[in-house]
Amino acid sequence: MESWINDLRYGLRTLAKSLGFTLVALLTLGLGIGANAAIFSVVQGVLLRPLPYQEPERLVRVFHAHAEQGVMDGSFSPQDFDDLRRELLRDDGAWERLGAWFFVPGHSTMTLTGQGEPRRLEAAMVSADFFPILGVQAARGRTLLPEENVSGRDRAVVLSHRFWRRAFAADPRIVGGALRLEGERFTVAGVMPPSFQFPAREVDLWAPISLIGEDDIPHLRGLRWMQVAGRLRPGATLASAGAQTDALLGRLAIAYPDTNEGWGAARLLPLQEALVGDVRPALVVLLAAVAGVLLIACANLANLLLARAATRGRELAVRAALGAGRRRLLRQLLTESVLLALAGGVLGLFLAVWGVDALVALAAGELPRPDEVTPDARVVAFTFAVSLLTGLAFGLLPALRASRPDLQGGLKEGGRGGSEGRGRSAARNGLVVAETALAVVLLVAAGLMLRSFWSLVHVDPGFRAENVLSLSLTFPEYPEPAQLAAARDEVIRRVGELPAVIAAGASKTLPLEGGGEPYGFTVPGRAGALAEVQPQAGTFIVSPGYFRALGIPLLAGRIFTARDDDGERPVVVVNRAFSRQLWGGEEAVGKTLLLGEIPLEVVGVVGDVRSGGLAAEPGSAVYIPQSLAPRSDMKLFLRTAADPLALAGAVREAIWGFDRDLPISDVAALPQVVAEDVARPRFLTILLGLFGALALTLAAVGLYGVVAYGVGQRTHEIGIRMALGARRGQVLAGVVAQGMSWTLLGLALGLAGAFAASRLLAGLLFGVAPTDALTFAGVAVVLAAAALLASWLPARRAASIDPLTALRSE
Amino acid sequence: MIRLRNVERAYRTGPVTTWVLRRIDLDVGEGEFVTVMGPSGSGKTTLLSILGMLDAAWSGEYWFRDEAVHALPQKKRAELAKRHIGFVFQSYHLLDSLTVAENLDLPLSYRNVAKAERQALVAEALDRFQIVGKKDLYPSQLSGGQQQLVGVARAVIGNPALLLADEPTGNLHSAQADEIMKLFKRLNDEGTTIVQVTHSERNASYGNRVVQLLDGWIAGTTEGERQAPR
Repeated sequence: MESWINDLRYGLRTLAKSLGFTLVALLTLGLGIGANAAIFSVVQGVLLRPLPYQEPERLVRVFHAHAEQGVMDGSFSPQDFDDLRRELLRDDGAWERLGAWFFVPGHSTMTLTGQGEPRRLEAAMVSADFFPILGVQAARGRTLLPEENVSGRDRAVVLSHRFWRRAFAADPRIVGGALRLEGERFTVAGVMPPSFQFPAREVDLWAPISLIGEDDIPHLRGLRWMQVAGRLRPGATLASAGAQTDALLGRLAIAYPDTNEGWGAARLLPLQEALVGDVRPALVVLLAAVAGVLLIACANLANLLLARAATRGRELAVRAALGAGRRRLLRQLLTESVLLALAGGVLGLFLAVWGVDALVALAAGELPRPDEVTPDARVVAFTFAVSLLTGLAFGLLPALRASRPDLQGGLKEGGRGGSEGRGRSAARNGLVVAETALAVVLLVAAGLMLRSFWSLVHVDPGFRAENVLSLSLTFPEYPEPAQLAAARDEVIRRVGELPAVIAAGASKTLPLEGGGEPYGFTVPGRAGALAEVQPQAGTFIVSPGYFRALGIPLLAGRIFTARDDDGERPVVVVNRAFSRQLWGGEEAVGKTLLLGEIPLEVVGVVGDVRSGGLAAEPGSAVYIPQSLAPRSDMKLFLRTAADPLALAGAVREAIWGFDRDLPISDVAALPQVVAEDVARPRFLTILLGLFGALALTLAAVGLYGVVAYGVGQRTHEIGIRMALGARRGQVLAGVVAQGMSWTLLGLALGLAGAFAASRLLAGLLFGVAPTDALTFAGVAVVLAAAALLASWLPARRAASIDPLTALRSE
Repeated sequence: MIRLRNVERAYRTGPVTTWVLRRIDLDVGEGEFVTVMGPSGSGKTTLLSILGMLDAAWSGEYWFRDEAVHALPQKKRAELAKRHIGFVFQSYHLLDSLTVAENLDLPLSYRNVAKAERQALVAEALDRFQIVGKKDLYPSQLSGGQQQLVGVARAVIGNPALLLADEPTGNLHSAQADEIMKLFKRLNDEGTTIVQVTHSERNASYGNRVVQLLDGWIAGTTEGERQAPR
């Protein structure tokens, strides 16, 4: 133990003595380990940390699946959910509880009035079993009681901690008090703890699902809108629960063929997996990237240590002559490298603490569970383990070589351990080749993501977002549908008359967020499967000004007019994809579709919009006028002549001039909304770009170090060459050629590695192949240029060697 | 104590073999003070390295106190050297990052001597060589003579039976050199066997036998009355 302490003390002293080396090593390690710690913090918080609920491993998300339609994440109808509860919650079954909720951000809202400006709150409508399944108690007050989830008695809500703090400054007196929601009085039953953010972080309050009446969403077996989760009994497996659920759904599919045919199976996922599953590939890629950066850093440090070992030959020879065995020397050297790595780890941890906040900010809401991304004890343990491994990784090879010192050479008068042997320089060159290859793989990954991101932001979304202001509005429940229509038309008319507004239009959803209604149409004159059609992107309920406001091009016929909105002669507009799908090259305008019994005449064909997001191909879509399906939630789009945000105040005034209690939210310029659609690829692109740049820098510095060291070792030789008449250019070319030969080998290996590894990225790429030749070629050029610079700098020094000085110094 | 029979050492560079030592037969008795002399390149330092078991690539027989060194694996040779042999180098070879006391402690720590015993031995050596006041200084803070004093103290701290010295005074001026040689003589008088390599006749006169090397061969041995210079 004591000799360990001695090793440690000597190690510290050695590091302090060569301050330049130590600082460079610490910075390299701090960046490498810090990047790993930061990304691991994200992985730990998002993927690994158990959900903050009671026995979270027993929580399961249940999806209704229809294999033929490719639906794997469907919801349940209220009738199917009731059957599930009635049949599956038996004492001998796998399920202990099943609960349901309805929450779609931006669409399940409640309007809060009487507290200053009217506000739209994100409300999760939850069943009686929702809180008991998760096993979470309220931080203040209580959760909802079963008897509060009955129509007519459902006037209680539970607030999220975030909303409670933001809206009520964490006033404890609000619990038990009242709020006016949707014009009615609700009791605040409790406030949840800050960690409770289910089903989504955006939730402001939880309300009884019994509030969703027939008028809001028809309670039909064929209409699936309830999201379901359950708690397994202790010891029950996902497989047994799945089998029991499938068996019941199979029976329902037979019993109700009209609505349930094909819906005979469930897909079960552990709740945690369901919450975070889709960011897993991106995080795995990032983790691999930072591990690559750290490996490059290790190769660099191993090279530095190899160079240093050559200058420490005398010290090690003396130690050996005084009786230090090989194991003892190895331990001394490894102690130094591990010490260095641990110090780098501490620095890295500081960088990670700072970096994690930046990461979460950069992710712009695209990370699930962002509040749980904080460096905790596990992150510290991970960093410690990584540092230890790093120390061994970069220290072992140099230590193994240095622990066999050349005793005679090292102890000779003036001897510094002799010149570097062929084996040692081969190891150094091999390390440069390896780090170059790794850097190439990382750069290719970064390059592919960059090209993919470029394609994504330059794809035609099918509408023109510039100069469009978008905002959300929620109308109150009017006794008559006509009143809603009148209110809606009046609001659109008022904002449309504002001086800077060129066009005003409305629909239920934003153009890239999907949300088309799943209506099925019948094509008259066709039989069987050909007669039924459900547009892939769905059916959108829009106002007459919608197409002009969003700049969606009219390709044939006409768009809606105010007369279409009265609903007397129902008409539809279809997009090009729908027209081609149904009628091929035939003229669509003038054709008829049936929605139930209602005949709809196709009056126009418009361009395709990427309604499922920029990365998704546009699907077939149908547009119907608002009068056919009135909605109280509305997105308003205003095409303006100038900066759209400058108009926001006037728009608010115009709307509140009509009704002071109308809640306005999500006021934004549409380009900003479009930018949010690419937040996740942007996050991945920026990070991979950063890590790629870091890898390139480290590899170039590594190459520089090796070439410069080689030049130092060859000073005498170069001096002789120049004394014998070698020209500067020849010396320069010779040194550069040596550096480039290692680089080209690393480049070749790296390109082959990238060719194999880039397949892992395939699922994250848009509009670019994982083997994109341009990216590969670009990376090769960038890396070769960096290597040329890294070799040229020491080569220039070699070429300026004065032969006389070089020969005298030997 | 030492018996060399037909010891040879050569370096191979490609197809060329360069002989450094040829058919060396040498006996050194317990308590002797032997000086190895000869021109540069005659093989003096190589011979010392073989005696100190730092060099393994030789042929022939080497007996150390009835132990057949030539038959021992390298690890055992290192053990043997660690127990019985101390080294003094021309350029002292003190470790720059360690203090005087730590330099003295180093060979003991490699011999796994217990801490308390090591502290006692270091204290005793500091006292014996009168360098107590220098114990916390680093080598760079000492004069050449003082550094070699520490080098000798370090070599003998484990009480070795054999002390090997390679040009121990090569970097010192004459007064310092005499001090060191007197010290050697005292150690020899106390029973330590010494083999030194030197160019200096004056230094050789402290010993009781001179072995002359020439081109790797033993060119002659001068036995003589020990005659310390005044």
